[in-house]
Amino acid sequence: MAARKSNPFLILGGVLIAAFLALAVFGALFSPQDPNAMQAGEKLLAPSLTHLFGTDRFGRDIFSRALAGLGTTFFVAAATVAIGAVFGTLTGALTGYYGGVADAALMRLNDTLTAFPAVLLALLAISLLGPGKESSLVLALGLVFIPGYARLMRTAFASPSNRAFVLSARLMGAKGARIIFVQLLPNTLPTLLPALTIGFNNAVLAEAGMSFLGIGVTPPDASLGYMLSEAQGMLAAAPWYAACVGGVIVLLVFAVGLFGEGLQRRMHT
Amino acid sequence: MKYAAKKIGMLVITVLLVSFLTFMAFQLISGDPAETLLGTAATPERVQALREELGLDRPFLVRYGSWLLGFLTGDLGESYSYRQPVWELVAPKLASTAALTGISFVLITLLSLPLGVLSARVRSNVADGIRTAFNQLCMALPPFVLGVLLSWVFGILLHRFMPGDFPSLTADPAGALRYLFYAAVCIAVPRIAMTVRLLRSNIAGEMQKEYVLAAAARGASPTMILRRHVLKNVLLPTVTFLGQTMAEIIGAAIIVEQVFAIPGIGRFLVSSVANRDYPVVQTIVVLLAFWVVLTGTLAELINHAVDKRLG
Repeated sequence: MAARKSNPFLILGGVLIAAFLALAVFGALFSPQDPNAMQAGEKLLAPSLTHLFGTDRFGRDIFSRALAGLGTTFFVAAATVAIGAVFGTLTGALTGYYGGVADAALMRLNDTLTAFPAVLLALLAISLLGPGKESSLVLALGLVFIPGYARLMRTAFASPSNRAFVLSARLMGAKGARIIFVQLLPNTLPTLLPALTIGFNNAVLAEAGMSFLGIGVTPPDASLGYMLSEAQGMLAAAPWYAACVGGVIVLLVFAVGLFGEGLQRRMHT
Repeated sequence: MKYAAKKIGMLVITVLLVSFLTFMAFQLISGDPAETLLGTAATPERVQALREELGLDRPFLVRYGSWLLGFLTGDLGESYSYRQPVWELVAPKLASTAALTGISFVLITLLSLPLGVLSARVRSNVADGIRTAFNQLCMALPPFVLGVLLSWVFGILLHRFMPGDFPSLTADPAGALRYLFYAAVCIAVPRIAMTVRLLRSNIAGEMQKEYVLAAAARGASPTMILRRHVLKNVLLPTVTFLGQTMAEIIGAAIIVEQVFAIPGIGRFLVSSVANRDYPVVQTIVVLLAFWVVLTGTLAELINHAVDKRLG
């Protein structure tokens, strides 16, 4: 294999993501302070060494709560992308490989669904599943992501460059399922992997957005989006609260975005 | 003209389909509105009376038909939480949402086209790295984070506007538009970054093609090639993308209206979802669906006008 061009995006993004993951795991295992412990004497303290991000209006340590929120975000985003990618890839693989009437009908439906803003579909799905529950949020966002993955993966599976070796695999007696999962799936990875990072980011933003609106993850569960909406109410008194929580969200999305950019450049050169 | 008629026909069918699916979904999930309205202490007789009053005893398709007819005549039923006609609640909120999304779209279009062309001209490795990182950073700025940031900087520190105190569009149009501008910036920044990125990669892709080499061989300058040939070719995917953007702006507006406390239909949709006010949710969803399909159709029509060969 030829020497690869250095890829700072992949490295920087990867390091940042690893750091965030480590922080989330660290927060879950040994949180510096109990994220739900209220201390009456320590309300709205500015950041210090004991409270890295300061405290909120109940005297809770914002850093510990942000770590817990980070954990929630990772869980919701990973679960959402898993639902969307697995079902989307399956649909895309079957329709792309077999074609026919079902393919045409499903693609029309997918085209229509992907035209709608994800926030609107997610709101609709949450409204139908019952607002304010983490399970409805994951299910709603997962459902919303399926059509996009299905459309993308269908194109990858139906790609004409696959024809020659699909034919040769068939000549050797391979059946549909084997061809799809053993022969074609690895070939679609350059499409799937960057799409996973984009999907992850969309999920992070959607979770934070829905929780900000008060219909995603709701208290007592910690969520970065909900914390930000809380922080907005005390912008004048505690601007660091919003800055820290907003900063964590932006930096996480930025890291995953960089990683995706790097992945895309590596896969397509 | 035949093309336009076909596209408009498709639009009507899609909107009807969406309205039917939405209606059906809410009928299935919301249970019996009569029971919801009366609460748990209601007697079966009262529930039955209200069901008849609301017309819930009629078959499903008849109810869908009369709801659809209501859409055309402005009679959309009554909100569960406000006990007022849905249309009276929704109509006054349309203007602020329309203004917000309009300003956002103008910002996105005006800024991203020149920036995209400019960004395509950057070639050196270091500049490319910085540009890409900056682009990713802008894409990572979700409207609600940016909204809180702008509220703090321009609202609390600089007193340019009063966050949470939206001036009425009719009483103080200038003040309202200034207020909406900050909200529109929040929607626009990540979308501008996305449009610039798309334009850049499309222009770079076009530049690799043979006709560019041929034009250069004939002695055309890079600027001329860009203007005469390349821009024309990247116009079509850009129009499609901007059509999609117009739809996405609605999604962002739903959240930004909440951040800036703008009384638009997005904010109303969120509170209605939280209150399970299904008649309102249904109405707003169908209105927004119509908007989404309309923008997609418009983008297709514009592309067709630019290039007649598209079928």
